[in-house]
Amino acid sequence: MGDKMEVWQGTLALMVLRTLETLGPQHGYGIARRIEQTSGNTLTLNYGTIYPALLKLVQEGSIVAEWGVSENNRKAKFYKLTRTGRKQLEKETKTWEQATEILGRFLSPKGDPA
Amino acid sequence: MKRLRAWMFRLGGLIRTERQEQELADEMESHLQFHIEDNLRRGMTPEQARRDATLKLGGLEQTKQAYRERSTIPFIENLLRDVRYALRQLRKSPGFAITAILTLALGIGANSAVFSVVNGVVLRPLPYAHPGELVSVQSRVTTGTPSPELLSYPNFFDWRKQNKVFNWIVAYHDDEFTLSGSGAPEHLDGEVVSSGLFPLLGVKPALGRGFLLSEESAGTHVVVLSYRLWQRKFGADPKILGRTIKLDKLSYVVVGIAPRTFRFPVQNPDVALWTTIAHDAEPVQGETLFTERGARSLDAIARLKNGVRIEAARAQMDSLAAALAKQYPEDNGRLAGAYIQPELDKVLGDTRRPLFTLLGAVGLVLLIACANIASLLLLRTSEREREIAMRAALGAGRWRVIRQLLTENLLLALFGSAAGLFLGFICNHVLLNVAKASIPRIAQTSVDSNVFIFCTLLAILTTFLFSLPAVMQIAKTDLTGSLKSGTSKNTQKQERLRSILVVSQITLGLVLLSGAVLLTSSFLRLERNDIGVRTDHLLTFSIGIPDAPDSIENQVGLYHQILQRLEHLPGVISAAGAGPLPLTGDQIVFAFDIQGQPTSTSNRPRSDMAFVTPGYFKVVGTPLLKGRDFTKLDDLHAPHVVIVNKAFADRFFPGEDPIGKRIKAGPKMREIVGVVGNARQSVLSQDAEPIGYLPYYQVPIVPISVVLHTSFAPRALESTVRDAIASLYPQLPIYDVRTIENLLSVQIAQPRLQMLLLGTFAGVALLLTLVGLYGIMAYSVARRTREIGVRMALGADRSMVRFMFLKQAMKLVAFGVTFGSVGTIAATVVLRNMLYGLTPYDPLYFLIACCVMGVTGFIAAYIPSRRAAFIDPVGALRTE
Repeated sequence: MGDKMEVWQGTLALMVLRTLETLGPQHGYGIARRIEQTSGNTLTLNYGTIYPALLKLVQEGSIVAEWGVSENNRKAKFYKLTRTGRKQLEKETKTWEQATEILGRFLSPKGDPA
Repeated sequence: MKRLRAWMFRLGGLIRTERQEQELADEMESHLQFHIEDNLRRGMTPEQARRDATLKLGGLEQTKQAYRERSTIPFIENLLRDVRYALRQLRKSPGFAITAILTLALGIGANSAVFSVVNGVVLRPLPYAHPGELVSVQSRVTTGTPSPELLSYPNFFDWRKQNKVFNWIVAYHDDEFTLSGSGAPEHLDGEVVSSGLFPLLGVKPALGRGFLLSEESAGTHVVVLSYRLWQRKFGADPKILGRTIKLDKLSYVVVGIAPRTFRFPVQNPDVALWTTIAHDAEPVQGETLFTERGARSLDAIARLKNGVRIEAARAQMDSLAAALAKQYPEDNGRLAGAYIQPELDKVLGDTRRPLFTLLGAVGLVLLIACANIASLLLLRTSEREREIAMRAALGAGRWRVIRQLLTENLLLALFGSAAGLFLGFICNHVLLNVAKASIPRIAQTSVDSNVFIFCTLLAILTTFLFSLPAVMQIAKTDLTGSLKSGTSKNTQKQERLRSILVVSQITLGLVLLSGAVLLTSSFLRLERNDIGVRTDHLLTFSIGIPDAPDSIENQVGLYHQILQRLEHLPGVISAAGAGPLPLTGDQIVFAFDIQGQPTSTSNRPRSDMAFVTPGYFKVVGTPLLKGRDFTKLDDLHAPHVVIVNKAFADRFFPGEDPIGKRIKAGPKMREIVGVVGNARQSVLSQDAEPIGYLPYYQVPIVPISVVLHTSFAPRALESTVRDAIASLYPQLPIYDVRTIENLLSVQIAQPRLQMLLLGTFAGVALLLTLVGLYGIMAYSVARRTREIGVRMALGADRSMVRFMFLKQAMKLVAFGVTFGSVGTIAATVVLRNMLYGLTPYDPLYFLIACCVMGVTGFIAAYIPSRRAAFIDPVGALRTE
């Protein structure tokens, strides 16, 4: 258990957006499961935190929510990426890639030829 | 943009609906179901599956709460919840809520009424452009105490030419005109001004223009009309410019119309026209005011040049005045300085200080009201101790509990403030009616946005004040402790707090009370002042006689004829003329020489003077003490005579018989032929002023008013008098018809208003103190019922029990009176200037105040202690 990580502040929104981009419309539980799976079960995600995060994205207009029916015929609220959301995802992905690249250079073994 | 959108959503989220709650519950439920199904597939038992799902969610309620907080703004959401809760709490105890709100309404209402006057009169700037640059310019008397003195024309012209500190300086004085030509002749108030008034004030005329420098020379007759006169008399005719109107039988060309709201001078709303100082340039008996340096009749207003400070202006004008004093020692010797003050100060005169004093007094009333509410709140807090403990046990922090309490109190204060604003609105109207003539600019005060802001601030301030003791109590209390014990351990401590509150109430109340007693006795004394004239059955009025220079001799004949006619009217006992009238505060001061006692010109004795017709003293009932009255024979051709009053004789001829003595006033030597009793020109001065009376028929140089001694109610005669004069001279307007009672009441209006207000405040303070003390005593009796029972069972009789409680109450009163006496000393220093002929440090007034407070305290304590004495000991022992 000791090697599991907490979700970093501010990254959850990005993960949600990315998940919705790959999976298409999805309900809260589905998103949470998917995030966990994608991380190879190395993230401990408190499922409850996903809902305020979803609400924030709805308020900001990045996603919209709609009631629908799941494959196993259960009523659920589905979240879908909007055009604003796509743009936001694109922008934030780029920012993150840059950030990780810079951090990666700092942290890579010394003298490593780029 | 994104963030703004989110905030809008959250703001909208403040209104949470059932449906949203339901949706959230549904979403959570579906989440759990998904998870449980997954878990079941992984082989968990149903119980395990649900438990794991809930655990993974991080608690169902916690998640919902986090979601709700994200969906609204928690701070405001809490506030709204607090407000709803507070409203519910207040509704639950309407008695408390109504008492508190009414008490506050009384306090805040009185404050807003007084503040609206202070705001309108003192704080509101003058209605001209850049009013801060406007200053009043007068001469300063440099012998003795510095005091302002009017300007003479030559001094004004010199100052206007030589100064480098003013953009504009304009001289002005009041005058009266008779408008004839269109309809019945009408008497109008007018203002004689030098050129440049409108640019000085930064005001553009509604039509036409103001006055030019060239229009100041003799023979020019131009006039600017007030908007109202233009509308009323000339039907707002736009073609009026260039037309002539008849004023005092002379033709004046209308050159402009003032704006609708224009007033100058600002304290005189009745001015109907403005004309130039050319009016005074005409020579009268060979002399013109323009060259008489000793004839001081002008006020002046000036606008400071950009960046020039008033001190700099003062310095320069002082040096100009000093130079003139050296150049013309005869006329200017006493006036070697300039008296320059902000124009607003000049307008307000000495009304500023009493107003702020009253505002302070009414502030004390509010403090006393706060103490009452604070005391109530303390009680209420301990009654609610269990409820508060319950909330604490359920997780509310101390700060959260206090915040809830503050919300509730703020709500009370806001309600009280709204009611107070309404009350203040009514009081303001009452106040305006009472104070109309006595305070400059008061007619234009109203409850405006400043008053609204003031009330809101008061509400917030009072909330903190009266919440403080209760908050202190909560802050110190073990919140959950009382839940366990059930009864309060803080009663003792709380009662001490409430006692402190009552003592401070008594302290403040005593300060107000002593002030009120002082003002009342000062006022009563003022009313009892011997004014030297009869105080009933006198009617006075003025006749608008055109003061065209050729008519001086005619004027004498005209008054003679009119007075004779009036004396024969039924209901008129006698008639005479006088100017200025007594009790009006109007003064004409003259300097004179006493034969055989030469002095330098600037140290000549000075006295009031008045011009009267024969028989005047009989009409007004001033006794002739020595010598004779004027007769018809004291005319232009007879030897020059003067009658003096007793104060004059005592001051200038102490221990001598003044009859036959001679004084030189102006060019003529006059013989004193009579001494009369002291009649007052002004009621407010402490001692009677010396007055010299000159026979009007000998020196007909000032307009006089007619005084009638009537046998019936003087007002009833008004129409008879008008008809009688109209039958002789239909073209003469009659104005300023007043009874002696009218004159008196105008003079004492301001002290009366101050007395009434402070008296009312003290009364309210007393009432609030009574309620406060009664409250604490009644509570104390209720709390100690059991103790009383024990005492009685052990042999205490009823009077001992009663004495016990009376002693407790009187101890509080004694403390309050002790502290109050210190406050009273401070208060009398403030009030000193509002007293007439009274030494404020007289212990008698303070003793009266203490007695009133003591009796009030006794009444407040007596009722509860009586109840205590009649407690049935057996029943009392069974309580609890």
